[in-house]
Amino acid sequence: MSMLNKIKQIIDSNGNGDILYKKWDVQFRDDYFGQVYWSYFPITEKYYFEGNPAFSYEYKNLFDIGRYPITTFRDGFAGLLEFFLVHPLPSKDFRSKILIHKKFETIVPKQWKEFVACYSLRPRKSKVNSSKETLVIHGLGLEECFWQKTPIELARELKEKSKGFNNVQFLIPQRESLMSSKENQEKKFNVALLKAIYEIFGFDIKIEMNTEEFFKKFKLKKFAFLNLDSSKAFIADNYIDHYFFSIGGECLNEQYAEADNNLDYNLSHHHKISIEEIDTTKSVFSQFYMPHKLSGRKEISVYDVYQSKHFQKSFIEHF
Amino acid sequence: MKVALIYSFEESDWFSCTVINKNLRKAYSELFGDENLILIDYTRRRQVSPSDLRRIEEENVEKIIFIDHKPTPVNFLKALFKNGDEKPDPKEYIIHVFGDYPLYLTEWRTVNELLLGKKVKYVCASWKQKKYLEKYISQTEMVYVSPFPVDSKQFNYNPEKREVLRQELGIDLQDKVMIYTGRLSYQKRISELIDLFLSSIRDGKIENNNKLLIIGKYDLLGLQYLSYTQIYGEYFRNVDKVLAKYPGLEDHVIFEGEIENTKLNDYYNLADYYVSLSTYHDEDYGMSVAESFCSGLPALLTNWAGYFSFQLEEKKEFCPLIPVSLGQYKPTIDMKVAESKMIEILNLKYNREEVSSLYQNNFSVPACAKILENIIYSESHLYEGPTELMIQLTNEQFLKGNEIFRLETNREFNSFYFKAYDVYAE
Repeated sequence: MSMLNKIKQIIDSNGNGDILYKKWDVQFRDDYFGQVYWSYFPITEKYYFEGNPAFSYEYKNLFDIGRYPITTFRDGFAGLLEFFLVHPLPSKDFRSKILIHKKFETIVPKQWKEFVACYSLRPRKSKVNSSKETLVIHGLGLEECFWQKTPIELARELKEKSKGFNNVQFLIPQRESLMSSKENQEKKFNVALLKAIYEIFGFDIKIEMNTEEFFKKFKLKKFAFLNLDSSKAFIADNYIDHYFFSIGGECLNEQYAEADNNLDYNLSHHHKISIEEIDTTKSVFSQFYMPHKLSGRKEISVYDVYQSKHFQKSFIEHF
Repeated sequence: MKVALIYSFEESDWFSCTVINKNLRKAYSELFGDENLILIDYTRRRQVSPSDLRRIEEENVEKIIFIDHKPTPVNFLKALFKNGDEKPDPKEYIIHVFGDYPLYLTEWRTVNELLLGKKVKYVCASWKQKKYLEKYISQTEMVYVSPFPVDSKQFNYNPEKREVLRQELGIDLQDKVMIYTGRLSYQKRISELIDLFLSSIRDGKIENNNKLLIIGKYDLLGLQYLSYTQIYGEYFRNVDKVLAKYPGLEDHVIFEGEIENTKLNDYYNLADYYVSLSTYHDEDYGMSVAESFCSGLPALLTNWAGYFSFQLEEKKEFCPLIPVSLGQYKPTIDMKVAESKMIEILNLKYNREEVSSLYQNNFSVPACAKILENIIYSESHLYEGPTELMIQLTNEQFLKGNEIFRLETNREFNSFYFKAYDVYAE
């Protein structure tokens, strides 16, 4: 049976007993991740899919993951790399399937091939009459947005992408960079981004910082949206994207081409999750793993990966 | 006569309650005239200003009418009675009761204590809610029924945009359209409705040119009483699995998402029938249903709670009702009966203006103002206290919050549930 058939079988028969978020005893791996989770909220908000979308730190360990037939990691680069650095090989009795975001399929060690597939979010129908009226730019403007570009560069890029839209709205909640090192927290990336946006877009724009208020007022059905964090360095699967997709928005971020062989599940009337097999022949995992192994470190956390200059450099190189 | 209307000036997070509130104000304005109404802001944070309380005394207000669902009158009454005046209170307290009443029983118990020996009238929006409330208020003579009014200026028969809107949605003029508007929610039984509709088309029980138009957004409510809540996308997945059972027929169901309230009348006017299989536990009335009737749509409903009141004696055929019985896990409806009722309504020949006019005569702002007038000027009674069930349930609620109707050992309803809710299903 092919990997996708196995996954289909699991998802189609997955009842509430195997749904992580329907259980009462979900705990974060450590207390600090709880703070991080809530600092990113509602980007981290839960959503339902029989493939168990969750952050890797919502599982205690590999045994906990093994309690579920399938899990969909919502993590971006940092969480996924940490997971595979800690578990370069699956345990001998590991049976579950893991879905990771397509952007990071090359991070998967070859030895995990039979347990891992990748996913991406896509519109159910390609938009025939794309609306050029309103564009919503959303995101938190935390450190990971600036691994590959400066705030001014990002603001210019956003300006470029918003060309042709009559109305550009911003939803940029202000949060602390809890994933950052102490030194980088001082840099206040969120404030730097606001300054850059005002500089590039002018001072007449309105930036909404309260998500709840924004959604209360936002009633459009034809609009486009753009997640300003295209790095996916920390979060690959963002609840706000799901929300905008689900009310009919057109996503302007990276889109993957339709493929007939993918396994698709609708997540709303407008978007779906598309699952496909990974290609481990292009795996670059060893380039992350060897330096880590040679460093002699026995333990590593998602915070270490996120804050490591070495991994940031490799991230820029590969993603 | 001076009358104080008590409500929160801030809109409710329940849109239907905001509409109800606005329309009740219109009805009272027709009844008493604006010059005799004192509008008092009893905030969502349960505060009322001392100057407003002074106005009530200084202007000799005779009737204090609560027209909002939240907060309960408890803090307002405490503030009003703070000085502990021992003189007999000449004022009458009229309370419009909403569907969320059982969620705040402990507060209502305090309200009852504060109102002991005072002139009180409770106004329910439907006959079954009156029966339900009488489980908690022993003096049935002080529980009245007046529907929540519909604004006829907004909801009426007006086919102007029928053609254009049908075209926009890809619906032929010959197609028959059943419409549902409201929250897409577990207790509203949207997935069962789709299943019923599509299976009837598949089996040739109803014609292939029928469409089901669904307007509204998904919610996470689940079934609160059994502590079953949902997460984002969960109910959608449920609905999607039902749609997947009918390959090739999915296009018979059109989802329009949330639309602006100002456009709703156009959607009712493009449709031919309203439908709802809801057995939602707070369904004391059905504002969308009332609005759709006023636009001239006959409706297929369950015989559950407030829906019962929409079947009018003079034209029962405009509102066939599907029987409901209480179940251990949720109220149950016989889908075979539901199917025959659906066939019945889809074959109904009716005059749209007649439906609209009949329901406007019963549910519009002026119609409700008349009903309220009779209530206001009817004899007052002094409140004597709650029923035994109310006392038992509030004791439970102090301990269990909203799980008072759940068996402690299992996710099933307990005997309190059957005692309280039997009237919603009868």
